[in-house]
Amino acid sequence: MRAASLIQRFNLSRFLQGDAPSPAPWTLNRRNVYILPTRQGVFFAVTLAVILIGAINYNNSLGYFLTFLLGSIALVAILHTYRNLLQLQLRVATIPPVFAGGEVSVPVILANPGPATRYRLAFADQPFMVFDVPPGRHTTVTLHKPAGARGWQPVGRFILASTFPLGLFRAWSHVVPDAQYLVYPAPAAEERLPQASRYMASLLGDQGLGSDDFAGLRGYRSGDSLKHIHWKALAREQGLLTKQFGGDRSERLWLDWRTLEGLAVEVRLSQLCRWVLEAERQDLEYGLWLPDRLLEPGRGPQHRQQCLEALALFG
Amino acid sequence: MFRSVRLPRPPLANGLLLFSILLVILPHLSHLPLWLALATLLAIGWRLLHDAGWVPLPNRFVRTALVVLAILALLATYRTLVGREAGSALLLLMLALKLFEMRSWRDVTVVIFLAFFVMVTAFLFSQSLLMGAYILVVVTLLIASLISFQHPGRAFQRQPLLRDLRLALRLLIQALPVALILFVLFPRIPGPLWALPEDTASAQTGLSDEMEPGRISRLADSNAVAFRVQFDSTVPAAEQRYWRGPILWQYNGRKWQTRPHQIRLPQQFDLDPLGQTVDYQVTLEPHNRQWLFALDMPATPPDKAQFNSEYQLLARRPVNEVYRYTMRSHLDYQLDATVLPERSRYVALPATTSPRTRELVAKLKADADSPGALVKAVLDYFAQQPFYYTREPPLLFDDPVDEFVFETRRGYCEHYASAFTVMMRQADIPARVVTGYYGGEMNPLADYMIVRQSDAHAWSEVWLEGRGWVRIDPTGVIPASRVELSADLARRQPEVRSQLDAERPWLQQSMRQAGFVWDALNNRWQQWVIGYNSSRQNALLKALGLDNISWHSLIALLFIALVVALLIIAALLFRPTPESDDRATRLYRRLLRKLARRGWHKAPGETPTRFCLRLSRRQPTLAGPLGRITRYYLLLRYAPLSRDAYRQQLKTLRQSVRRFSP
Repeated sequence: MRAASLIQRFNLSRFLQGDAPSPAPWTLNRRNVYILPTRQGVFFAVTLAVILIGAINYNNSLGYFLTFLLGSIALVAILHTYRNLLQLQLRVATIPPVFAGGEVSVPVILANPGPATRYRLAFADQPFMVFDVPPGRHTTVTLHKPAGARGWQPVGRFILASTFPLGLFRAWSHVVPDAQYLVYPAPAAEERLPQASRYMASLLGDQGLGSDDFAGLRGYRSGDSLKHIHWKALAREQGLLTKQFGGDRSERLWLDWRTLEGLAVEVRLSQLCRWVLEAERQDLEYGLWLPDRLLEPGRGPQHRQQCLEALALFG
Repeated sequence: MFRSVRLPRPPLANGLLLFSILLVILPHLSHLPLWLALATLLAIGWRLLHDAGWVPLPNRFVRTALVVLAILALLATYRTLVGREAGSALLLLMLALKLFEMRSWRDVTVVIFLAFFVMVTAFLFSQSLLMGAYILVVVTLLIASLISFQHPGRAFQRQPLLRDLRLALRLLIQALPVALILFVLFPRIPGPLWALPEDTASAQTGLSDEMEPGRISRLADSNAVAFRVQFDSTVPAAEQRYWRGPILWQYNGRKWQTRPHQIRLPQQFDLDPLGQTVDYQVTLEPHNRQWLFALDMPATPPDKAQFNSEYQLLARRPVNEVYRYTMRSHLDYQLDATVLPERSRYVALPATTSPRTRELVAKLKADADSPGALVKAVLDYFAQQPFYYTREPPLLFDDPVDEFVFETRRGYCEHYASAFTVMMRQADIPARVVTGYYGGEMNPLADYMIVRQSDAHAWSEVWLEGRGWVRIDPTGVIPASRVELSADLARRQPEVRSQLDAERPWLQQSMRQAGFVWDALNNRWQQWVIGYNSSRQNALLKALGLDNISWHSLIALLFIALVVALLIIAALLFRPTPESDDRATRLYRRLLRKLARRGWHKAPGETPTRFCLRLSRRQPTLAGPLGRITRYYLLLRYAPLSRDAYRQQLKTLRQSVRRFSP
């Protein structure tokens, strides 16, 4: 290998920042695993240097030998530390959405295709998570980081490192997976639902869309609120049934962008977000009115998710 | 990255660390003052009790007080904090006290690195072969401790200590060849980088620079090796093995002493070789004195050594490590034959010394017509009167020479040498006492001679007109019947020795053989490990065909050798193993091989389940076992199993595959 090609291969920004995001799975290889001594490693080197000077001074052969033995152990430890990361494969599993200002949990799956256990791996800034990956198996590690701003966020760069076995050297790799997660607006503190909601009376009743009186059972459809599932029937192995409630009227709540006139965009989105959560909590039927999008009234986890997504991606 | 993490207390890892530290301290115990030995052991015990949850660690105030107290105690003991003894004691105390504030992973590394330091100071006291083996054990344990303290997040998990020990051993084995390359090729810088502190307080074995009857006989029981000698040609005969050492010429009525050494240039000597020479290498054990030993008479001093005015070989510095030198000696010689410089100091005696002996000498001198005749007369006197040669001579009080010559008449070599030299001086014949070793035993299993402390000896030199300094050994004239110990006789007469050997019981003989094997190993160790220096390095490189290699080509060679060694280790470590699958897959492949022998092959895209179904339809007898194996296999591969369950299932799968025969 010529020196020039080595220099070309070594790229300072890659050393400091890692590569561009790349699709899964991410494999650690000789190009993206780096290794440097730790603080303890430097201290160890100084220790050895002092012992060596002593050995030279006293012309002490065993002193020489101990220095060389410890130095060689450190050299071999470099290889072990490096190998501990090599050929590991990383994948990021689906990341559940989070609210802005919160903490995102990134499930990372590490697969070890090699014949040896990878000991004591850790992600930088996640000090309490140290884990092993046995040969031929995989381990899921959940990383936590601040969620960041509203909208789609890239997972970004994280650093997988190991100082195994001696703690004298730290091998690490900047991992930049091609994964992202959705951040909902931060819910505002104000919980009161808007006065602008209208009750829409129905002469015929709403046939199961209201919430007052039990009206009967029907088969479960996805999106039905978990609160309405007839759990006893499920326990009797009659399958999933949804309880239907009827009434003369139902509360149909419009969560309207326009009612928040005069406030900043993000504040408005935060308030709408809080209302969505509150309406869902109270099991109301609600619709969302945004300048660029209209979501018909509905309820249930799926509806809630749609609304929050619309808020997250607004603008 | 793990800095802020507090140490969990994995008892096993802590126990391992404390045990390793105990082993590090062990070699020091023999030369430490008692209080220090007890203090370090106490610190280890305290820490152990703390880790067991019994006692708290001392607080900051107590720790500071302990440090101050320890340093004061050190100063009181040694009057200094530097030098071999005090320095290693200081390091040891630091290590012991650091145990009281070992809280984080960082502290653990400090403790372990300090332990390496303390270990290396032990080599200043001993570099024996056993110590060499001991290093390997202690290093493995300390490295294992370093490994097992590296799990910051897992306070409550069982420490797999055996695994850490195995890994430490693997690291050690992989490191050894690299260490060997470094040891052999690393440029050896000769000499100290700064002046070594004088370690006068350190213990010494071997001859002293003064002689008072009773001193050498203490050495007589020591079986320790004084030096080893390798002869280039013939081994000198038993009666020629006089190893010249300290020369004592000043007598105060009780003691013989030597005075500060005046170095004389070699050309000032009047050494006249007369025939036979012998070439040899001496490997001298450290004795903390400057003198070197050589066969009577050394021709020229070795490198970095000189003669003093008594024609005694002196190294530049006290020999505090194994010292190898090449010598040539003349077995027949004349020294200062024509003129004796400073004659007066070799006839000086305290005025009132030994009046009765003086009378005897005067009487003998009257009958002798020459100094040579007087020498003979005195020796005859020793031989004819009932003088005994014994290791347990009676104590001498007022005038040792008079009492010995006329009353006790039982003595060891120093009694005879002392009395004889005094008598010569009383007759105005220049005389001095020579101490050194007499004898030496060839190791029958290797080609070298062992000279032990028990071979220590004293004799006289008298200066005779026209002949110069003549060696006279008055002990030698005592007839065998008056030598009390057969071992003493054996030194003089080889035939007695072999007869003695034959008479030993079987066990003693084999012990002796084992002793020779051990000594031969030790000799190799001394020659190749302890005595490895720049000249040995050059000789080795020369043997490899690298003549006169320059300093930087040596570095380059070292570097290349290191890189090659590491590449080989890396290739072994990183080698892509074809069986890189997990154990379940390996077992499943074994099953497939069994089936393939019968001609049933799994299609590349076929899942294990489909393959099992297809085969079961064709071979209904296989359906049961094959289905079971497939189920276990899939379970092992894809089900989230606990470690124990995984192990259990794997065992079942292994058994099923082994029993399976299509």
